[in-house]
Amino acid sequence: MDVPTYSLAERDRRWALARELMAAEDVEALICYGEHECVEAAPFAPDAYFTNDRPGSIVIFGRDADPVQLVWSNLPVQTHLEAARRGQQMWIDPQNIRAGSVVQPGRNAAGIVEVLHEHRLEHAAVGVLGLDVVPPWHLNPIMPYTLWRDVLAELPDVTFKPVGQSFMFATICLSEEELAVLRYSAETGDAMAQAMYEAAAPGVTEAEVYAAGMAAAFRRGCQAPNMLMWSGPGFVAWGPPSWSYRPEPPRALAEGDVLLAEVFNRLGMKETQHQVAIAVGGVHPDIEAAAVIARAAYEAGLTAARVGNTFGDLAEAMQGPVRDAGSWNIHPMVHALNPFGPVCGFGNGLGQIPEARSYGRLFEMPTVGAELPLAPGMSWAFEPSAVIGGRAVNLGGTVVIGEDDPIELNPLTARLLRA
Amino acid sequence: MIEISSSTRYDQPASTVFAILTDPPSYPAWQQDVESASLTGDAPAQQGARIRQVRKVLGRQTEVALTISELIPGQQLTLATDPGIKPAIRQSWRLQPDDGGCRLDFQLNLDGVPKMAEHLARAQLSRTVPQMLDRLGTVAATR
Repeated sequence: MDVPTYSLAERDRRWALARELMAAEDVEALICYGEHECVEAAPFAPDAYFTNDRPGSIVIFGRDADPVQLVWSNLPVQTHLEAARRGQQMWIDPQNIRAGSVVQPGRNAAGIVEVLHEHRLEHAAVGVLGLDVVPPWHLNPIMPYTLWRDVLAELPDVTFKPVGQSFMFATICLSEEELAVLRYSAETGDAMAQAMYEAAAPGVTEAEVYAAGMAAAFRRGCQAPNMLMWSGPGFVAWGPPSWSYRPEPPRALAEGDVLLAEVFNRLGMKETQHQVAIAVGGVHPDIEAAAVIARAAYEAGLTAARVGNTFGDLAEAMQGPVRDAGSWNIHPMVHALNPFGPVCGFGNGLGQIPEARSYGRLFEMPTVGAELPLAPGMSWAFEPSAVIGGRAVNLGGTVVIGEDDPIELNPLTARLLRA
Repeated sequence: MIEISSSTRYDQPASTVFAILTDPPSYPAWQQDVESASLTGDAPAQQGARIRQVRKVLGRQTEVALTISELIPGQQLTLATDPGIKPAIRQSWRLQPDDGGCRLDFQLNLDGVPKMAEHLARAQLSRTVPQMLDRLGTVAATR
């Protein structure tokens, strides 16, 4: 299996970005809070960005020193140690990894305070990753309240500064090594979609289609987060299959169904997304019509996905065909990947559905990050959806901004597949 | 600080191009990010006059006020934001006769973009500035 890996040159590039960010933000340290490991889609893991190791730690850059990694227990130490024994080039030296939580300094407030004291930064400005809103999952900043409360109490004269936007600007154009990793993930996503397409047939359950897709990812050594999936003759639902959170049998596909899935795949913390739409036999004309609109939106996105335009231009271009058709999008038409952040608005048409009026309040999510200029190396999830007659279709895949033209990594899923 | 320079040649004389540069209502026809532009009051285009523009700055509709800080008819036009305004914009347009037509040297200075976003803004402007000068040539050809 020819899986791309990261070199120490990539580590040095990323650490240089951290120092550039610190200089730009005029801070003397950078605290990178990463959420716990085993998170599914869109993990918030700036720690792993700088360690190339297990997510779920806190990484602190102090002035020009090598970063210190705070881990919650000995378990990350054990895996680091064994990886080094096997000849892996580890990015963080053992002496800079500190385990601890609850009763000793480590991945907690005491660990952060200890590192900042060591650098004599009690009166300094310090940048923080973890205090910003980061769509889609962290619309409330992720930093734990008690951890941050204790840091503030222990270091009252430190000026902490959220620097999430600068981190996004610094890291959103992927390096060649990162693009190689992304391409492998995208190829795997195609394999997942192909396996799902081959499995889908009347009488087959959603769970079997789901399993076929996930198995294709795992066989190629990828970490596929749980996918979103719904099926039926027509629907506007969007999310994980209901059997994944409610005890109930998975739905069996029937002739005339459409199965829609948002497939996530990840290699080395780089994520690709794949919108799988499978028509099972002859589907309702509204589904065919919605697929045509979604495809038009995808193509409009390709036209706009060029250097010189902003994310707002891209989102607007993709919403155009949907709006012109009197349709609406059930989820974002497009959003950033690697890292997440800028996201197209969605949800504007739900109020058209009579039952929706009985809900306490609806929310139309606005487009976030419209001002971001598109630049080569950015990766975007193209996921246009359209609804006709209460029947939705979504399709798409991952697209990279090229020097001249956009690079479609997944044309396979940019159309309605027919089982 | 972002600096973008671009140079191009037009078949039309400098006076024709200069007339367009000093005609703010024409800006939307050739500056893709400008939605409207006008001289404030009834003032003619002269040194010290102010131009009010509504433009898309990094995707957002923004009102920008520029002052004509330098004007030499047919040769030089410089527009700049007031001191202290962020982002600070300075546009310099220099025209020279060139074999029956003219050569335009354009320079844009942009200060105040978040430093870590400068590479993104630079990528955008390196594409949009030449497009703008091409459109200016198209407009000049119709005059």
